[in-house]
Amino acid sequence: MDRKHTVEHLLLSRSSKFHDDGEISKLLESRYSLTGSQKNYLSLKATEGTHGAKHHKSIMTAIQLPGRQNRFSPTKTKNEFKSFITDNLKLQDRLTRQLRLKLKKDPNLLNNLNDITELRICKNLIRYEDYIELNKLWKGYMLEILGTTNHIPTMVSKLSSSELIGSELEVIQSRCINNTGTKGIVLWESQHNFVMVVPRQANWKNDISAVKPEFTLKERIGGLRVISKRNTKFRLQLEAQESSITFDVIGNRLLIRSTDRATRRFKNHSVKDIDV
Amino acid sequence: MICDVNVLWPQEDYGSSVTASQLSEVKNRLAVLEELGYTHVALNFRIRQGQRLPAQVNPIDLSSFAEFKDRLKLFSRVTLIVEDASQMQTVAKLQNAFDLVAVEPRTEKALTSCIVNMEVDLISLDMANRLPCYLKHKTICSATEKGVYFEIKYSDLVDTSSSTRATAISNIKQLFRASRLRGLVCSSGAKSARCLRNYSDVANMLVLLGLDHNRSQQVFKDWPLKALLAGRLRIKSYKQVVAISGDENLIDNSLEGKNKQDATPYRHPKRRKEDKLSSM
Repeated sequence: MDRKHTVEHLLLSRSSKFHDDGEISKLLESRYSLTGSQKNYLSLKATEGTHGAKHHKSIMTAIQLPGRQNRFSPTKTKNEFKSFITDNLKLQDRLTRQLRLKLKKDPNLLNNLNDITELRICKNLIRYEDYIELNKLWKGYMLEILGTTNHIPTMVSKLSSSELIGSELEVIQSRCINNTGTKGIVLWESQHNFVMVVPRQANWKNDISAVKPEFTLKERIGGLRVISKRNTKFRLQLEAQESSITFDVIGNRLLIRSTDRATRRFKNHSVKDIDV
Repeated sequence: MICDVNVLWPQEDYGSSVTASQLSEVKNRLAVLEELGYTHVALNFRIRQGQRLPAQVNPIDLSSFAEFKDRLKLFSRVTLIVEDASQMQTVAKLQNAFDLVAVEPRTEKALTSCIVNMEVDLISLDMANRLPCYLKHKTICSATEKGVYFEIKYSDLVDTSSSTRATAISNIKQLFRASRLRGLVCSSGAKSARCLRNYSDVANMLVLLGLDHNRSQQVFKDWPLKALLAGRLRIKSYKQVVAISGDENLIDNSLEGKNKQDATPYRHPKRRKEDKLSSM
């Protein structure tokens, strides 16, 4: 060490502990040496790296990236997911329109089909079957959480702070009557909406066994549905070893993001906005 | 759905028990109510503050009214008469045992602390006597905002002496003024079947006192149902977010037994589900 620790030297010379300069310089020597008693000292040596301006610039841009990054940048996961949802919704809309036109030309087009995905244009539809595994995962998670409790308040409080992505929800009551009866696996939960994957054809109409149900094109296609939580009541069925139990999820009280819901303390409010 | 949320339970306190004649008298009243077109009826148990609560808080056994099973929806209600505003811990114990929780404040302090601190569904002021204080817009409307409803008993107006009737009318008009005609519930509060009336008759009388026609219907239909819903959700749900279900709707209590916290009646055995699947 060829540095002269002038500041330290001056400070230590004020101390009554040290009598002469030799002692101080000896202490400082051991303090800043690589082999001395004090070791928590990071010594850096210059390496033969590239010191070019180009390298320097790339580091700067990497630091600045989050600020400069466009919020529409496709590299963001959030944007990618958003575009996944919007693209699929658009695809479904387009398909209904195309199929309607095709049905005008050929009314028997869909009659002999078991599955609408056999059609070439419907290949890229989101399929409900792919998400059953997600539902299975969620069921395991829920069984773990609920355990064997049989006490209503603990059961429902645990459920209210648990994750709902992966659960199978059914809309049992909604001010938007088109949504009533929709049943599907929740793909994503946002503050105001559930994004569900709905099976093809299967819907509330299956319960009407007396007549053969007719499905609209939208129902035959299935796929993604975005369902608002507001003024909607969902039903959730849980299966334990020997019995099953159903819960009602009141959408109006769930209008918070799921990450906040986990830690949130809920409160009772006026029930003006809840329908009986 | 027409509600009467106040049918008096014959018991006065926990010490006494209900005799067979009293029970048949209650059934008599319920039969009259059914004849008059009511569908949701709550049996009201009144207790004074400061009574020691036994382990079984709810003395009303709805299973003894099995013959009304498909005819009326029966609920249990408790009314706590509050005189000392500082001792209100008992409400928390009552909340989980009764479908509806009401308070009857006797002093001004009790009224304000009921509104601010307590979670109750109904506030029932004693209309037959002088009100504890002048009712202010601010206190009454803040309660309405919170979702607490005020109760008017028409038994004060029917079959009483003319002086109590006069007090009751002036008190009800005060409440109408203070509440701006919002958040009111009308119920019978009848001790005998004699003073039960059809709801449209009472609604007409309320119109006479200054309520408009639409709200005179609502005090029997929508608003008591909302009060019932709030009370039921306290038992059936966690802070109104997730409710247990398996019966008809959110306010139904047909599956619950004496222990309202037990979820066993809500569990369906697996077998039933498989039957349903095979039939489909």
